Amino acid sequence: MINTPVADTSQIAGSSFEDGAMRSAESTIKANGLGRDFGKTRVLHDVNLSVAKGRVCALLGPNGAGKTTLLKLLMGLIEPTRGSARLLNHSCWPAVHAAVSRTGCLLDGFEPPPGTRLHNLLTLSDAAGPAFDQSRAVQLLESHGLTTSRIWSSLSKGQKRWVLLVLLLSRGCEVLLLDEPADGLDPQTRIELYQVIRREANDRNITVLVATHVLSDIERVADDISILHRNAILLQSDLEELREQVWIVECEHAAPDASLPSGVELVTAKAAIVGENGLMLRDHASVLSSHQLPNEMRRRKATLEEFFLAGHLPFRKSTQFQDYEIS
Amino acid sequence: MKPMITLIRWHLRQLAVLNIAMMLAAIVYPMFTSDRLILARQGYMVVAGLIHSGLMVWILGRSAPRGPGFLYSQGFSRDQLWWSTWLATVISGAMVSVVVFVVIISGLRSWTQFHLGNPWFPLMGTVDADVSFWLFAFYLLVLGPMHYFWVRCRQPFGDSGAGWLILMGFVFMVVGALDRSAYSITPVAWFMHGAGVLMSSLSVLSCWQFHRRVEVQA
Repeated sequence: MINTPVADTSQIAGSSFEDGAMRSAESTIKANGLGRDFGKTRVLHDVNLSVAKGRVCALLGPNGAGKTTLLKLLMGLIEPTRGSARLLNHSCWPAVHAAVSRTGCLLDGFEPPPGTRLHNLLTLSDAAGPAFDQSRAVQLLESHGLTTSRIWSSLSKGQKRWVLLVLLLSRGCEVLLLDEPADGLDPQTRIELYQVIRREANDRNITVLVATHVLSDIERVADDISILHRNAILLQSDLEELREQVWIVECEHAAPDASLPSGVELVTAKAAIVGENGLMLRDHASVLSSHQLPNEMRRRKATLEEFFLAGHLPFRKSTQFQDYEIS
Repeated sequence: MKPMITLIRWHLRQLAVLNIAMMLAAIVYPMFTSDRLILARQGYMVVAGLIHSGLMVWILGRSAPRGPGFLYSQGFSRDQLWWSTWLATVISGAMVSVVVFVVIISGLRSWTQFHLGNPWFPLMGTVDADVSFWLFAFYLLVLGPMHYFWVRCRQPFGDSGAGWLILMGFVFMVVGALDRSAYSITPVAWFMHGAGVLMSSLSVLSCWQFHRRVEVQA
């Protein structure tokens, strides 16, 4: 019979973060015990993060979790209160130009003045670094009907976002730190954006850290996920590994109870995530994927949205499945 | 060099409207001022220089969406950003000073005053042309502390009061020195001028160092 207590997603976090820490020797982005206070408000506390070269990492978390602050700390825009961070093997504070010049950063509110023409922006980016590919930038702008004579204030929110992304993508950056990059973009442009990011990561081995709430988009391109919760990293893991391990098991009828075989642990039974008759389970030993479930039960891989919600919603029901054995 | 030139042009573009207005004033004011153009006796020029300097520093340093955050995010170094900002404001001050110089040296002022019935013209002609040099020196003196004040008071650690005190003390000292040296440079005025130059130079260097650790918020 079941003995596993109801657990929160910190159970997922344990071993996965250790995996992440093991990769840190070759990390492009690394934070150790990073923290930041604003006055008496503790925005980030003891953040340990590691993103290896060539990986696309989705940084998830509820509003106010500290995602933007973390990106600013990594970019060297603000000073950490505690801990340290490294970007491209350089300390993030004080910011080192050798790292900043190879890093593209998209943050909300960092925009050019309203009267700026797009060709002036291209000139500015061209001056910022020798790797800027102006013809590519023009091509990407024109693919969305934007000419370089357009004035910044005449662009829509989505067009402004696209222009800023084009500037970053054309700079030949080795690291991209993106805060809600798809904000304001239409679905087609969002898909195109993430395709470009994926292609850059594959072809040029760039490292990308994307803070976003649009999980369905990032799920298609992310290699790793990091979840910020209550000002600290709750979970960091290889997304594919996590997908192989975390399952939603649902029962056709009313909430049966089942004993969990060894190597399988309960992540959550929150009804809002898995329904009244479901459980989110973590399978450490490939038990669920290889064993036959009773006919009344179905299994499927958990989505990124379900991982995320598992860490951020209050529990609404307790463990069940006690009458069935997974054999 | 390319990043610096591009950044200076970028900053000057943000200052274009203000600088054009100041240059128009720099054309009109000498033309229609019948008194001697000695900076220490021209309160309007001093006040205009202070306002111009303050507005330039504010425009280039203010927060989102036109603030420095965007430039930081584009990969420029903090040194490049600080020195380009400083140089753009100095160039703006120089442009205004040059306009004053040209208005006087070209005879435009003399011609206008002559036709307005001023008996000293065209005899006085280009006598006051050196006011443009002193005006530029005044810009150099006040821009340093103003940048320092602005950068310092935007920091979150809450000692902006010190920035205000530095700025106010400096302005009183410079204006006081100008007043004392209106007709002849007294030892006190020499001392105040010297202290002002030293303080301004130090504030530029301090601000440069300080700027390397400035926190940038959207």
